[in-house]
Amino acid sequence: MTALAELESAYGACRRDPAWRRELAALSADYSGRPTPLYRAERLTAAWGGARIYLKREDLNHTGAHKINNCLGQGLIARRLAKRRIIAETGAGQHGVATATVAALFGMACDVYMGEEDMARQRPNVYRMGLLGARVIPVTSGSRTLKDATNEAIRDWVTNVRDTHYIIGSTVGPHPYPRIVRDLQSVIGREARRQARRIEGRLPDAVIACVGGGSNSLGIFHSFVGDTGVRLIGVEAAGAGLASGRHAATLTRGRPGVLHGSRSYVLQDAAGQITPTHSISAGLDYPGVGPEHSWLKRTGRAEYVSATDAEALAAFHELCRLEGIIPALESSHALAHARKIARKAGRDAVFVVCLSGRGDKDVETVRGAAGASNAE
Amino acid sequence: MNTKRPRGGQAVLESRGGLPNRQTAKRPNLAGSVLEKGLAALRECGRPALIPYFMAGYPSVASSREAILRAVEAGADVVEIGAPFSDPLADGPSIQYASHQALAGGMDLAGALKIAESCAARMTAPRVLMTYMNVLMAGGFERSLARVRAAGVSGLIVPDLSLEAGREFAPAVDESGLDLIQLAAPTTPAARLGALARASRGFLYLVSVTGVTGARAALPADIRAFAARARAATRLPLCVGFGISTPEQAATLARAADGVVIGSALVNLLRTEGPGKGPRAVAAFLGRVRAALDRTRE
Repeated sequence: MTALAELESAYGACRRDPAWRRELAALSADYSGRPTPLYRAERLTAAWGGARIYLKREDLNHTGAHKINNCLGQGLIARRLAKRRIIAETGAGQHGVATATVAALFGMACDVYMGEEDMARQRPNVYRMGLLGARVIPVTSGSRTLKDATNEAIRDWVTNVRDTHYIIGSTVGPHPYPRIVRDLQSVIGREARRQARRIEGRLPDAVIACVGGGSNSLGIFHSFVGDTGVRLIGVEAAGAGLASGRHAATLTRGRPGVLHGSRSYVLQDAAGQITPTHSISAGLDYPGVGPEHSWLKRTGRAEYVSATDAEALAAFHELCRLEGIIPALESSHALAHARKIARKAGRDAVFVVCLSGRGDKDVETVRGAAGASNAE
Repeated sequence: MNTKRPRGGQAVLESRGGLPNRQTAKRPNLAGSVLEKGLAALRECGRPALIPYFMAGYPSVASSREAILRAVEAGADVVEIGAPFSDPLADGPSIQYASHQALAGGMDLAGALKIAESCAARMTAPRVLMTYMNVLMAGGFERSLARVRAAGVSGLIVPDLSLEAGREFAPAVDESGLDLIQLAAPTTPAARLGALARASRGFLYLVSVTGVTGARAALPADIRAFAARARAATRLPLCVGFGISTPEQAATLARAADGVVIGSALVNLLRTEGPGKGPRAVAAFLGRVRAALDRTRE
C-alpha cells in the first residue's frame, strides 16, 4: 500500500534527523515525565518471599501508561507528513487517550475507534478522550472489541489516507508499524537496563511483561535480547482458563496466520476464521500478536506463559494493598506470573516487571468482578 | 427490463457467455492467461467486461449459486466469488454484512469452491475467487491454491496480500496456475503502479476510490486520469471497481477502462429482495448495466 511506503520513508527520514530525535527526547522528558522510575517493591518482595521485585513505572507516564511513548513519536511523524487528522484504535482506552492527548498537543483532529463492549467497560477513558477534543467512534461489528476497532481504523485510513495518519497502538499491523512501535517503545527497556545496572550493579535475572499486541513487552524486552542471561517472559491473558476456550493467549494457543496485515500467531478456527477472545483486561483482548514476538518465541529467546483473570485480579489487589499502587489489569497479568515464580527463583534473583499502566480505568471492572465473586 | 444477452462482442464468446477457459485448465501461468486473453479479446471487439461479485452462501447457498448463473445469462463476462472471512478489512458495510451472514450459515472456503465448481458446469465465464490470506493459509497456502484451481477457478484477489509480502508467495501462486490479480489505487505513485502492473496477472484491478468496497452515489472525477496512468504502465486489461452503484456510473467508468466490477450494489439488492427474488433482481439490474456498457461502444 502506498501509504505504508510513504510512512516507511518518512520514518526513516525522522530517525536520521537529529532535530526530530531531540524533539522526541524533549517531549518525552518534559511532557511525559521520562525517565520513569525503576522502583524496588520491598513489601511485595517480602510477601512473595523470593526474587527482588522491581517495577518499571510506565504507569507514571503522562496519561498513565506506556502508550504515550509511541504516540509522541508517531505524532511527530504525522506532523512531518503534514497530516491534519489522526486516527487510532483502542481497547482499554489507554492508547486512545494517548492519541487524543498528542492530537491536542499538535493541534490535529482526532477520531478514535473503540468497540462498543470496550466502551462500556472503560467508561472513564471514553470521557477523557472527549475532554481532550477527540471523537470516539463506537464499533459495532464483530466482537465489538479491539480487533474490530482495528478493522475500522484501517478502513478509515485507506479511505482518508491523503490527510490522515493512523497511529496504531501496538507492535501489530502491516509493515512498517510493528517496527516503528517497537522502536518508540524500546525506551522502556533502555532505561530499565541502565537503571538495573545502577541500582543492583547487574542485569536482572528476568524481565516480565504482559502481552496483548505486545508493545510494552517488546519495548522492555528489546534492549535485553542480546543479554542471553536475562530471561524474557511474556504473559498472555488466559481469561477464564486456557481449557475454557475463553482466553486471549495467542502465542500459547494460536496458529500462524495473517491478521491486520501482520503475519504472526493468530487465534483462529480450522477454516481460518478469527475466533472470539476473552480477557478481563480490554487491552489484552486481542486475537493477534506482534510478529516480533512470534520470532522471539520461535527462536526460544523469550518464553510465553499466561495468567487467568482470577490470577490477575489477585495480583491487582496485592499491589494495591502492599505498595499503594493501583495497576492496570493488563500489567496485573505480568505481576501474577512474577508472583508464581518469585519464590523458586530465590532471594538473590532480581526481577523487573513492566508496570505498563495504572489501573484507575479498571476500578469499575474490578468492582464488578468483586460483586460477581461475592454473589457466588 | 432487458435481461437478454446483448449482442456486442459475441464473436469471442462461447454459447453461454464469458470467456473460454475449461479446455486450458492445466496451462502454465505465462503472460497471456485465459483471463487476460479473454478480456483482451473483449476489448478488441469493443465489449466492456462486466464482472459481478457475489459472496458465496449469501443470502443462501442456493440463492448465491442462482445469482451467479443468472448474472452470466444477463451478460457477465467474468464472475468474482467471495469466500467469507471474519475480518474483511478491505470491505465496506455491505460485504462485511454478507460475510458475517455467510459465516453464520456455515460458509467457508470449501463451501465457496463447491459453489464455484457446481456453477462451472453451467457457465464458461471464468471465475475469480476473492478472499483473505488467513483463509488461504489455514489449510496450508499451497494446498488451498490447488483446491481453488481444482474447482475450476482462474484467478485470485487477495486484498491483504501486499505486493511486498506477495513475493514470498509468488512462486506458489505461479505454480498453481492461478492469476493473482493486483489492486492499484488512485493514490498509487507511478513507480509502484508499474510494479503492480508487472506483478499482476489476468487484469489489473483499479480501485476507483481510496477506501473500502461499497456502493457510492458519486465517484471521484480523477478516475480517467488514473486509468490513463495505468494504461501507460501496462498492456494488461484494466478493470475498475469499488463504489459502482448505477448503470450510468458503470458506463462512465467503462469509457476509461476495459471492464467494471460491481459487488456491494448486488449484495444490497440481494439483501433487500431476499433469497427468493434476489437473484432475479440482480439479473435485471445487471441487464441494465450490460445495456449501458454496450451503448458506450456504439
